[in-house]
Amino acid sequence: MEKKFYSQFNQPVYHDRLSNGLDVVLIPRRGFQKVYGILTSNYGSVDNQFIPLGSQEMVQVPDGIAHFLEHKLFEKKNHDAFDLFGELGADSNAFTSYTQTSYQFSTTQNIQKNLATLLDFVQTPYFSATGVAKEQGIIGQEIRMYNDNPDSRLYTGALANLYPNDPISVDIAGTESSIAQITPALLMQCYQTFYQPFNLRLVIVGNIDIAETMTTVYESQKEHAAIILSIHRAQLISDEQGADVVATGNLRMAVQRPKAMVAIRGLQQFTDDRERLRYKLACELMLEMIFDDTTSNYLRLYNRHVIDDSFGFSFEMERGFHFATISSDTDDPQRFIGEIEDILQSATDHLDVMKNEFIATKRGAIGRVIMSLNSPEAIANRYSSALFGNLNVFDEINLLQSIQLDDLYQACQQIIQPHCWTNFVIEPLKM
Amino acid sequence: MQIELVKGVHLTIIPTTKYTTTKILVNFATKQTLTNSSVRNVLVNLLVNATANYPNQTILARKLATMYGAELDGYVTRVGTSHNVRLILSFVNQHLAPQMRINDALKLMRELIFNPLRDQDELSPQSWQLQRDNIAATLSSWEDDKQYLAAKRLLNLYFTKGSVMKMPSTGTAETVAKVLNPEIVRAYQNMLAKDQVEIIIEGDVNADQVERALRQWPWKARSSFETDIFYRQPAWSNVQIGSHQIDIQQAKLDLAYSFPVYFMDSDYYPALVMNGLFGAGPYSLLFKNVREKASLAYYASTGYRPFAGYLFVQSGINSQDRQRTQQLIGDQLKAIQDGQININDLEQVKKNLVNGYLVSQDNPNYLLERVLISNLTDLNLPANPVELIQSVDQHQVSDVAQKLKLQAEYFLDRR
Repeated sequence: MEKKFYSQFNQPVYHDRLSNGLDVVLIPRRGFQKVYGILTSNYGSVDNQFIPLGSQEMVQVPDGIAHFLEHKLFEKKNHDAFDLFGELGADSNAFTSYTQTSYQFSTTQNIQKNLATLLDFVQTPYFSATGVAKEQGIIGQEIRMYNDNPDSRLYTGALANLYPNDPISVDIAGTESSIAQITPALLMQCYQTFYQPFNLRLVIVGNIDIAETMTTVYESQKEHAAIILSIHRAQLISDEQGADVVATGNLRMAVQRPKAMVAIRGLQQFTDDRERLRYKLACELMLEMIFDDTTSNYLRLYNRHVIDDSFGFSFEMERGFHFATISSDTDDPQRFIGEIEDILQSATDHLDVMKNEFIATKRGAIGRVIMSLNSPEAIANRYSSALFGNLNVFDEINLLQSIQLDDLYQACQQIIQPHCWTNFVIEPLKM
Repeated sequence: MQIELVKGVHLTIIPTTKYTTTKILVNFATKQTLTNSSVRNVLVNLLVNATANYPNQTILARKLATMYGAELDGYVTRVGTSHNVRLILSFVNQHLAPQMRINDALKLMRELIFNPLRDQDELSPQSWQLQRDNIAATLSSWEDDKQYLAAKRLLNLYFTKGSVMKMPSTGTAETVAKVLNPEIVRAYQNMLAKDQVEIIIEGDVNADQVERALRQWPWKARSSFETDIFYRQPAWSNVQIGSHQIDIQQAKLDLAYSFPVYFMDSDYYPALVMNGLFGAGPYSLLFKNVREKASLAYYASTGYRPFAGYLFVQSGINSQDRQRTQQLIGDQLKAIQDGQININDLEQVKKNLVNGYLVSQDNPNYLLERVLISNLTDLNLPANPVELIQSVDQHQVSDVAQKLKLQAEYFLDRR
């Protein structure tokens, strides 16, 4: 096992990769009673074309199956894993994103038993026809709920424009008709391919004893030998140059005011984890320097009624793709889009104007990460996936400290390419 | 420890080095009326967006960035019938951020409260209308969240005519849009002079130093505050029923019950457990039977409001399943009332509540909230409620469930 020590925070971080490939990260937090554990499969909604374990041929599975599998993994032949956590005095939950599926527990009691339960339920699949049929009703309601949510539709609409020919264009939960095609056999095929130990990563943060915790992990893995160590997925992005981005789109639904989003697709790919994280942090700081509430851009747009308090922006990176979004409720969506695109167009000029604010902006970003250390969930979730290798939140703070203004100019050149922009608008229904 | 700085202004200091941050919370409490919530909502927004020395959002935001991204939050909220204007400043502790000084944070909080941006008789003379209009716009877009919209309409049916509870703590889009500057100024003066003030500071601080600083702030004594903040209303003789049809895919069925069991009443813990068993969380009957067994909903859950004496059910379902869902919800409650309670289910719910409590001990916001509620209600909260939760039995749960009376039903249907 490898131990890193971060002296500024008096914080050790332990990492081990077991012989069956399971990746384990342990972050003990002194003074905390709570333990938070998250077990993540490097598998999400976009992984719907792959060569199944033991086969030679590429298959395509129904949209939404990774999320469906996440729901069904809790159900066992004679019990529900939720109930096991309940009996042990823990909360449990799970979520699925485009490229990862995660199972979580938090507790102050029976820590090792809860950890063993987490590993056991995720590594012991059971799928039945009646269970699948029942879940179709529940997830059908989840899909309808999000379909009625205008912010969700704004986001998924913009993403569908950014990646029109790729699986990212489909909602994580799929559609009511796609989930109707899911069967126990298909779930098992996905499970056997993507839940092999080497494709899983366990992160535990909080009140843990390292030796005891590793013993629990080793014991749990005795029955789970490595099978194979590679997964053949179809290419995720069909057009790596982004020539397929659809420039604009809109949707009418029951809202009071229009909502608008500008989204930009990044094309850079990185082989080195540290470079990838550095690029992400530089892009985030760059967006703050041109859009956040310390900028004159923000005040000007706010004072001219182009944006309001709902204004926000974000940078998201997952396995194989990344993008930024800028959005607001606004009475004049076209004006919002025009203003945001103008700022992006001349982003380096805006960086020049904000040069003197760089130290403060960076300090603010570092402070926000330090604040998040109060939450074991925040520490674990930021690095629960395999995206940044063995880097963790404490490495992030060190990397942030090393970022210079030049990195931001470089990020501008890398991510801001007008042929990779789109905009999307949600408009009220015609009266 | 609690210190009275002047009459009606209390300081509580919670020294701890457990967290990476320190928090300063200042809460101004008064009785809510039908008119004060919208004005106070605009007021708190003006206070946290500019001061005399930091005269616009950008300048204030830059100040916060230099303080290692200190987070400033200002909002209104209701606890029972009290209306609260709340300011919270959170910042990284000095040992992790060498240039950060607690005195800078205290100075900024003092500036936010006592030195707002003003010009003769107006607060924020350049920007108040814009901010007011933006708040009104935000409130109207909240209704784009159909779950929120259905809950709001349910409560509008539930609360009796003329009840202050019909007016949200934020005001409504309509009432906020009508707020005028002289009213904001008056609300500001009243708040400073008359509200009960609770200041809570939690983090890596020297208590004497903090107290000395806070004593320098220009507080004036005020008369004592009505600590009975529980809301009570007479029961409706018939169930209030409402529905609307709009362009949505998922219908919402919401129910409200009167539940006159108040915070820290003798049957408060049985009520918490009953709520957990009925519909709050994944170990509840609604989750198990409406969602998991009948597959009718993705969410079907309850919420208990122990300062206002009611409980509500929210669910998102297919339009044609309304009757079946309502029947099933009623059946779950009836089973509890009739004492048909599975002991394993009950134990699981209690364990879940205990875990929730234990886990919350690591959350700095929970401790702040706990002190604040205790000070506002003048009630002593048990140091450790774990045993109180564990000792609740099925008879108590069934007894307390008898107090639930269905009062309102709202159905938001698809067109």
